[in-house]
Amino acid sequence: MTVGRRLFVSSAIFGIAIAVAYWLSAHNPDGAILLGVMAVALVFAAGYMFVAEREARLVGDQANASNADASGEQLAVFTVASPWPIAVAFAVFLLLLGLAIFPILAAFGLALLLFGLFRLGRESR
Amino acid sequence: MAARWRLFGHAFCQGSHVVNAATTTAPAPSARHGIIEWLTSTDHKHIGILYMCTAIFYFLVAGLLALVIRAQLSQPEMTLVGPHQYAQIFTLHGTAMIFLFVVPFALGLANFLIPLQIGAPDMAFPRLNAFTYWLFFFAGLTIFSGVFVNGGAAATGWYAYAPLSEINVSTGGGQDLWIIGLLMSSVSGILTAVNFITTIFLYRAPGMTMWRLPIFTWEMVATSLLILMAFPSLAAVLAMLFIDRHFGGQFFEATAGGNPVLYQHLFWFFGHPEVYIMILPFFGVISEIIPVFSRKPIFGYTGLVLSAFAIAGLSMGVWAHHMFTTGVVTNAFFAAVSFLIAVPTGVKFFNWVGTMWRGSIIFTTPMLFAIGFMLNFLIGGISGVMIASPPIDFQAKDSYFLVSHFHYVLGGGSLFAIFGAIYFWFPKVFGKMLSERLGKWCFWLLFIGFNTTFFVMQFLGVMGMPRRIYTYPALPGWGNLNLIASIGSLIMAVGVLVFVWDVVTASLSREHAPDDPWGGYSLEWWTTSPPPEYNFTSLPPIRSERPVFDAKHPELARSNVS
Repeated sequence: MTVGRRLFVSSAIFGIAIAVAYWLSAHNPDGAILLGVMAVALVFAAGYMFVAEREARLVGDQANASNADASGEQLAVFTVASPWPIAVAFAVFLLLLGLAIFPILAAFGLALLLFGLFRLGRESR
Repeated sequence: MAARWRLFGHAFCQGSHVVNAATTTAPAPSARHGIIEWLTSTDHKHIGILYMCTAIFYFLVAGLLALVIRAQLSQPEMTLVGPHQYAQIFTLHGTAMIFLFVVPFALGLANFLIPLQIGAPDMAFPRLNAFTYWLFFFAGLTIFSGVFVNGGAAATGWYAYAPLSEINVSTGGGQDLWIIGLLMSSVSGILTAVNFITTIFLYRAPGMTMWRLPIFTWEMVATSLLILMAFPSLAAVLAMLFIDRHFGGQFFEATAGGNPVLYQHLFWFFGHPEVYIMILPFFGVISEIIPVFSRKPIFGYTGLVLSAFAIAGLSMGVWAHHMFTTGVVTNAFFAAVSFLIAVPTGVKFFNWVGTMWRGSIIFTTPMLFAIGFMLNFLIGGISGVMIASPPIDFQAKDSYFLVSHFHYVLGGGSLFAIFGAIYFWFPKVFGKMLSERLGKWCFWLLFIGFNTTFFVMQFLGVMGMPRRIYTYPALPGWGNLNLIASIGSLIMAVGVLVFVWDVVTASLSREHAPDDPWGGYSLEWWTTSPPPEYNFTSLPPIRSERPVFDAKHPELARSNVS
């Protein structure tokens, strides 16, 4: 089992344990629900680690790997710069500000948000 | 997907040992320059620098607010600011220090360091990374823009308890801006945590197994896990408060069947892990600084890593020790778990002392800050264990004893570690050395000023001075102790000015910092200062948690090959 999996599995076990311990000692629904949701989320994350790492053979996990072991792999293309992160952040800002103060602003923010996300997606291709 | 992430993490290290970035199929460096480059950059180093500089800006602003607070409290019956102004000032001070300084500084430092420490060319999701910074940037503007609206900024303290923060009591738009700002910063934090975990799990260089990660990177794994568990609770409670205020919700309105204690549950379910989100990264910083200047490997590597996760786990089960006096929580459970946290924290102290033990200690500025951190944090930690006991908490609740406690943890702890980190990594980040002479002045002024300010607050708390009062009558001893605290805050301010002066002169200096000025251990000291685009042109073989030390002193390298 990789360290990542072990980390999430042990976190999930801990989450369940503390939720149960809390319920047994406190009988308080508010806190038990909070801890319960946390435990469920951790179980989900642990499960996901098994799916996600099914085929993982990371050179970073091999204690004796040399730099040569990583050779021949193609460098993925990733953006050097993009105007869309700041645009989307600004759109979220307008959207929330609009909800609180001025509804027209929210509509404008929503439009910019959708457009920005669309452009982000286009950029990833 | 699998193919995709496997591709880019390691292709950087093509060939046998030395790889020139130009020989790979990396995209050409950005042609943009100046402000546009900074606005659109997805380079983790740019984003880290932006995070840290913004955080320091808010530190200076929040520090000025603190000086106003101390001026107002320096004498009984002062009238420098009125009660409502005072409430706004301490709310902005707390909010800015926590959400706009300590947490973002930690995230910025991690942004800069994690890819360097694990030998990766960038973060896993560079554009998401840029997005989180800009979201945080607008969050800060939103919170502070409350100053300009009718009724002023939020004035409900950094935890904005309902029903005080409900619309019928806090009518001004400042409270709304505060809610929106924090909502944005919590989303930003969650996305950053996802990015950190993905990067650390999948982008490690060949041979950089999880058990060879530098301690700082390990602490960021624990911090990211905590963020993922705690921040959604903050986002939820803020959204609920917003619905209460604007869309007719009644979550926290007792008269309509809501439950104000639910606000406290949800807030502190985030709020207490938040304290550890603000300290775990700096445990990592200290664990990086101490071994380098003790000229020894870290003592008890595994213990340090496991204690970080023990702290993270236990911190999820202590939230209601902030609610002992509500009378509706099980004090025994929360007191017991709170006491337990002292054990893994003690393990960390034991390991740091064990690292220094019989080491050849060099008292550079970062090392002084690390030792100052340990002394201050010890006081904060022990007063924390005291008030984790419900009978003591009933007495100390909302008194200056509490104010002293959390300032020892966050000011004496996190802040000192932040200064240590700046003095340690400034040459790597900017390629310039900060002055050792000025650095020592800065340390001693801060250390003396800090303890002068906050030590006396413990006595004020025991004498019964409540927190968040804007003035007080001339009771015996109160005026003098408050005056001492105010003088201490001025000494700290001078220390911060020395630091600012140091940064300005170092930035203007033409001398270049060496790549590895301290004889560092982890991979960031292998590359140039500042690091090139995509970080590395070569990587040493990684066979222990000190790859750079092993490469430079092969005769002393610990053979860790299994």
